[in-house]
Amino acid sequence: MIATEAATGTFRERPVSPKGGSTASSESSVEASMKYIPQGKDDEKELLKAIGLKSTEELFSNIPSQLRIKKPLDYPRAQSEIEIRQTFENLSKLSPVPSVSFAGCGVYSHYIPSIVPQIQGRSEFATAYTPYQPEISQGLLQAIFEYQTLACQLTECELSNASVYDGATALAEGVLMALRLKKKSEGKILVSQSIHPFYQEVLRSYCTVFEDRIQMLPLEGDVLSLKALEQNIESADVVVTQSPNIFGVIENYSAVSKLVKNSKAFWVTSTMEPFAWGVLRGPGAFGAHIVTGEGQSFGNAAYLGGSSFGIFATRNEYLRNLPGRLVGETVDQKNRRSYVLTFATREQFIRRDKATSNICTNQNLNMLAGLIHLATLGKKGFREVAVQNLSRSEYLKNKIRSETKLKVSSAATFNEFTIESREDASRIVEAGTQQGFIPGVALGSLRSEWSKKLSIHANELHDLEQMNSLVRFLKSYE
Amino acid sequence: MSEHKRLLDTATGPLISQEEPTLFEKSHPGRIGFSLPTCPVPEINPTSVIAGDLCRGEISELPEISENEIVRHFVRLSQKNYCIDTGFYPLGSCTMKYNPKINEEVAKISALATVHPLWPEKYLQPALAIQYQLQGLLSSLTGLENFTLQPNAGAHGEFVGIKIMKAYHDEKEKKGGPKKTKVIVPDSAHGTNPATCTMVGYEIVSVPTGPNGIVEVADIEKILSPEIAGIMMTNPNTCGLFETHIHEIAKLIHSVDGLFYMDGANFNAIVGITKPADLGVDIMHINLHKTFSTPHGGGGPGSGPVGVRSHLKKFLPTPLVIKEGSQYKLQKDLPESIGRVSGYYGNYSIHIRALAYMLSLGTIPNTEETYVKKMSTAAVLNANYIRHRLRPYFKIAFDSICMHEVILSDEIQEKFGIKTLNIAKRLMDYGYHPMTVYFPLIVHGAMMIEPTESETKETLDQFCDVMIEIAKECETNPKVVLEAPTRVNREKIDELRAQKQPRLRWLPTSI
Amino acid sequence: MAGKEPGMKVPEDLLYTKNHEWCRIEDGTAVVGITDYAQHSLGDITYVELPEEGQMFQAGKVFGTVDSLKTVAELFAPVSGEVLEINSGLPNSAELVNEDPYNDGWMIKVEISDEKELELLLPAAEYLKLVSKQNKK
Repeated sequence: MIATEAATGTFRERPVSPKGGSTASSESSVEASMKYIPQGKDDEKELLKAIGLKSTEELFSNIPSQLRIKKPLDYPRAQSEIEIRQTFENLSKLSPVPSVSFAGCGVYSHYIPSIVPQIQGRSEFATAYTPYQPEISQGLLQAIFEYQTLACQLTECELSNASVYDGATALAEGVLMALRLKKKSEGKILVSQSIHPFYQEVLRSYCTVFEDRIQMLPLEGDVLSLKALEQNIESADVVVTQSPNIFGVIENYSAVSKLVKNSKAFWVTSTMEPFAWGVLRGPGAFGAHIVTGEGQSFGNAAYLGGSSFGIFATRNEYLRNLPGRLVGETVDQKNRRSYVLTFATREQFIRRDKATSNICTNQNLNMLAGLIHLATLGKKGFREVAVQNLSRSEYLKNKIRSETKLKVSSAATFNEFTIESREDASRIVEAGTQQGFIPGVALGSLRSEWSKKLSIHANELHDLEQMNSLVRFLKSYE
Repeated sequence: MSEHKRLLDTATGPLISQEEPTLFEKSHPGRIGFSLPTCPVPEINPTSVIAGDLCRGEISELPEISENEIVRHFVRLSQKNYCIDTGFYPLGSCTMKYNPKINEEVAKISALATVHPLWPEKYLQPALAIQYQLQGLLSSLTGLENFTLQPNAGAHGEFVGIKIMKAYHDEKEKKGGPKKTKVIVPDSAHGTNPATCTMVGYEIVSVPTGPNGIVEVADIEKILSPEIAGIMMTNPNTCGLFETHIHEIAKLIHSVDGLFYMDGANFNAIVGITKPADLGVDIMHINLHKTFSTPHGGGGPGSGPVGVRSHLKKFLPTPLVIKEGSQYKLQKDLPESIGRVSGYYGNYSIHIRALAYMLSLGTIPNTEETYVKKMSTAAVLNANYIRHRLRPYFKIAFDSICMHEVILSDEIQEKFGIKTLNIAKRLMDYGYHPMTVYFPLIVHGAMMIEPTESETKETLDQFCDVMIEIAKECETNPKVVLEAPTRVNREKIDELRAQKQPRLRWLPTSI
Repeated sequence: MAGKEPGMKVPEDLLYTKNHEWCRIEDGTAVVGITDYAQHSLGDITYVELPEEGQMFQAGKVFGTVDSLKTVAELFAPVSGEVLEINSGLPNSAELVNEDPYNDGWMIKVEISDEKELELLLPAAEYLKLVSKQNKK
């Protein structure tokens, strides 16, 4: 776009009309406008005059007068840029910053390479709209196409969309898609109890129409009960699992796969920590029909869990039922490779009430951060981050097991695991915060029956000393 | 002929900015773009702790690229996009206003960015304070007492809003109230509105737009019945007009115990001018990425807070952000809530930016006026100026005072064989992003232009000059319009081929 | 076959609906598709979603959809009855609807449950009038 203009010498190089302009020629002759709203009083007058109106009030003459705001708004004083900066610096100090945090449970603070924010923040990515005009959006479209490819590679699926809101809604959309594919069938939706409770709640909010078909599958230790799955799968339309699960435990997808393959059910999976795919097979490899995940770990800071993107992948045969945006490769009339939003007739802006979903965003900028992060890591780095996460987490787990009296599960985990105490885990967290750090997530905050469980996450940022001090701290508990 | 020569011959600018291979084609074995500290603990072989049949090794398909090449790759990709910071972006219904840079800066403050949602509340104070303040300001502007910031986008907000509507009626139904099955949606609505109703399990009753571009009271009366759960109305509507009868319509809806949902996609036109609560609105969503200047990001993240009247507060998604004394808290004990709608507490990274914007646009020193009102007024004035300047050359769909956007139709240009799409593509040759086209559906060949308050009169004049130039070209030289765009790096992309021979991921075989 | 303009082929031996479906009546069954006018207005058709064999439809109810590049149109059953057969190749070769709407582009075969409904369908001459009028708009 920019290069084109420069090359062809264009319109934009025409001089700006000397007449207009809100720049004050001399001090105080013109009332200043606001820095985001260039229209000053002089402009306003000129524009009104051109239209043939006397006052800006007339612009709103279609709003019945009794419905208009008469009293001054209850609204704070406008702040200058310096004040805004100060306001937010002050807000940032309302809480202490922990010296180290071992919290995970769906949001992971990995190291974000410096190129990620620098590139993600570029105006051309940040301030563009959805690439509906392919001729002037090839960059965004190619980036989405590359993301779709990477998502397929990681999940071992054939097809990925451009991403959805987050991991929890991705799972819910996945179940809705499976139900669409099952059409008129009235079978059960089997949901593993080992799925993050927040994800379960979102699933219920999305599936209210099908609520009576949801059946929870119990746990056996810290994993899904395969026996319960086997007993119920006959009557199931959809099987929903998560691995690693809320306890950080890796589910036995080989076994689940065998059961699902012998049934008519659609298998929808969720993964909160996609770095796990650096050591684990993608769910697609086990025959999962719909693979969903939370992408935040790639390139996004924690942001209260509010800087996410939802991974959504499936098989080619379900293309027509896929929710969300999709980019495809094609050519232009000069046979140059080009990218374009495609299969849009699935989407709400065309299919309206019959659409596959009402979604019309893909959290694009968060996804872009993920894409840049993954590109930076590449084949070797992705593996190495995953192996280091596993190694550090295993070190910590073994050390807690051997040096404290706390119960550590023997189940296989990736970069987080759960320990059990005799007392409330929230008290351990509280004691940690007294020392200025966060020892993990007390799972009782997610479900009261898990009140003795503490979830601990370690990644490439946790150094030896931090891990060793956590173990020293935990020695006083049993 | 080499591929480069062929491309050069067809290019309209320097080749370097036009052709960029995919990450996968740039890959070269052994190159890396990362560095990690040496693992300070013994390295674990995954198969020693995880069952072998669940494990995999390196993913051979992932690219191998050095850092410099990755940077160039993405910088080049970025340069292939038009954006607000490039120029005027008159995309109707999308409110492509300037995205202030200070908002980006404050969103990066480390202590704000690194907050983990499952830390104890005493560590969440900055984040909850920001959300609480944002909720408060949204309440001030809408008159709706309670807000949730959980929805991740406008459509997600719609979903929450209509679910609240359903929860309200379900509760009444349990107590013997009538079964509510239908929601009224005007035919000019965004596609998300009907799609949302379907998701929640409501049937749609479409109400036509009257001859003046707004919904008429009589048309509502005709379809009003006890089964009506409510109405979903965009105001100002997608014709760029204020729904003048909104208050009477709200009364009618309330008369059958229906609820009024206002889609706030176009709130930018009326902020500080009128409060939705005063119009009779019960539930509304707001697009922070439109009205409150957060970046569109090429398709998100957005944010779609939902506000409700106090009697509907109990249905809001769990948890709510509240303040007790000087402490901000998450209120989780909400037995009647519609539940959780996203993983955590909404797109908080966007909330920070929106709050920074809203605080910048506060009360003007030494006056009782606010910059938010000035924002709306300027946006509306700009749209009307464009309407006025283009009126002699284009058919204006509803030629009365418009709100923040004006809608043209291609009726005049059609006589010369030119359609809306051609005009949109021709705008690209002149260096502009096209307006929204073919929406709303009820206007033939609609062209929806929304200038926002961010633009100077000079910019508006330049754009209008170009539109007028194009209108003249349609008469005198229709060929250049029909062939457009020819000055961008792609021309007439084969969309049919994209569907007939789908390639939705990169594969080693070339197209 | 009247009309030489593109999209104006209206075979005389068929019956039509106002929604631009056609019906060929053969021994108590109706073969259903969309008209030349419909395929022409939709443009490049990319996908057809058809019901399953054995499904029942009331006249006027939606039995499937046709996607073109930029839009999607619903298909309305011209007569009530059970779907006996579907053109199962169609979803994967939707271009047949553009190329040959009245033969290879057929969609479903329905067992007519109420012959009286046929009286409500338009004969070729009337349908031609309808589309000529719409074309002028």
